[in-house]
Amino acid sequence: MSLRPEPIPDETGVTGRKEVLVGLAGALAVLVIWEAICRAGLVSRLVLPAPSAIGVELWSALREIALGGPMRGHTLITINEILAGFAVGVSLGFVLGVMIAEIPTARRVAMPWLIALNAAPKIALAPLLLVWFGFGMGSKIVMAALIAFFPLLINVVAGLSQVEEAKLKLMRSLAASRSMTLVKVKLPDAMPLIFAGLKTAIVLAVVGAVVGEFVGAEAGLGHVIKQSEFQLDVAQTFAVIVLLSVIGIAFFYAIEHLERRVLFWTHPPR
Amino acid sequence: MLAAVDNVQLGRPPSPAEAGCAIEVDRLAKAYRLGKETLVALDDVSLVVREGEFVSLVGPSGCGKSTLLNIVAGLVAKSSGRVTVRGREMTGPSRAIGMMFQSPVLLPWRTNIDNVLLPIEVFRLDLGDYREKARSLLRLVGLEGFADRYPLELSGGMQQRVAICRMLLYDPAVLLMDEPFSALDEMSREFMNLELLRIWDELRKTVVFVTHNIGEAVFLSDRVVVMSARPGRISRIVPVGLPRPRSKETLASDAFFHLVTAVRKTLDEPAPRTDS
Repeated sequence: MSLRPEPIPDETGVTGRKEVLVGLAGALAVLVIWEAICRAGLVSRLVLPAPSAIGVELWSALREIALGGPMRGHTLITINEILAGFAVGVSLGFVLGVMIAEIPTARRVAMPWLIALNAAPKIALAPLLLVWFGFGMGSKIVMAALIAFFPLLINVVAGLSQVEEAKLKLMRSLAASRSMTLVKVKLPDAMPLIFAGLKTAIVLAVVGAVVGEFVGAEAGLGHVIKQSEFQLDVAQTFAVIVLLSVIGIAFFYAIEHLERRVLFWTHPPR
Repeated sequence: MLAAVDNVQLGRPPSPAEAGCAIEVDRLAKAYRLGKETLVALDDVSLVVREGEFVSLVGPSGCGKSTLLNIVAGLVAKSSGRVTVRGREMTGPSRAIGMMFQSPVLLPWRTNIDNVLLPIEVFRLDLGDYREKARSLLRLVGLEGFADRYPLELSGGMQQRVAICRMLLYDPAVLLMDEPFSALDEMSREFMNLELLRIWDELRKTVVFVTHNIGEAVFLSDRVVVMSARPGRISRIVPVGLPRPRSKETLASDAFFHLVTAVRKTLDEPAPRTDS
């Protein structure tokens, strides 16, 4: 019998790969069944196009994006709206969240308004925003900002008010100023919740931009969806929805990647 | 004027022991209001801790030992009485005091050495002046190899040793320790007691140590202050004459056993003694 330690197989890696394969096989099966139903003529292609038809539309859209057709312009406009709305909403949410958590007067003044605004269905404001900010990107950026704003605000307030009492006591025992405690302890401690808020906010910013485009726009992916619906081109509608999902997922994972690097202490070393 | 009045009230000039006193607690009281009821956490507590003395506070939960420590630290407001640290009345947290808590309270996003340096950042002093000292303190507690690692990579006992370094870094005259080893298992706690005494022998700082562990209190201290609950009072002060430096052999000695028994008896007495 050898006393040399055996390398321990990386079981999580193996099961992880297996799970991915099972997931892919499942997705493929759904697509095959879907395709079969459409080809058999069980569903009108005006209601549900076949995956292959959506694939063709998606391919031509991607070609246009790569080679410089009209889809590139639409996509870039929507991405710009998403990112600008996200940036504005998240910045405002952060600043207001810090103020509400740290300044009692600010809390008392702002809270009734925020509760009312949060309860209001913000999407219903879209026609109004169109009147105020016009048919261009402005109204879409405001819409995206408006709904990306709340998850961040709420998570910043929650994060700053859930800081471990012992850490605050340590800072008090060192006679630390409020700003020192905020910067050195409270904000880093709130980071996991702030990142959770950022991830919710980016997904909602996509919704906001598209809804804004639905209500009235001359360009953007939401505009393309509406046009394709007018032309009963359901396959193109689906293709654009897939494209929007991919954009949302890409932004989501970009933030998650950043989170893993910034919040290294929440993923304890082995 | 005020000082003169105080001297009259004390009715005697300061004794030589008091002249070298690090902490003076005089007729301290603390009451909390809970709705209509008033909870007396501390009632007429007076205590003098000499420079370089190691004093422990023991007592049942609710006897106000942690409250007393927090008032001395300037973290909790008193209801009446006076607390002076090295002759200065305590009105808030002071750099003359270093604290340790039940948990290490290290910031997980900072390396261990940066945790040790936290007070310097808070005091807005020059970090460069203290980096070497932080490293030598980590060496003192046997963690020099972990300076640039993170707290989550350390065991609970190692984390408390980092907290010791943080407490010692700015050279406070008085150390206040609130059940610092209570979350550790028995073996680690005993090891940390020995470590603490080794460091204390080197630095000879004034220590007030709150614990609910009688053996720990006797082993570490020059005097054990036994407190009783409702209202929180000092029921007896037990001097510990065990020779220093103390070691594991001390824990096995008859004298240690008798002192632990004496403290335990005092704790079991129903009413607080009035002759202390």
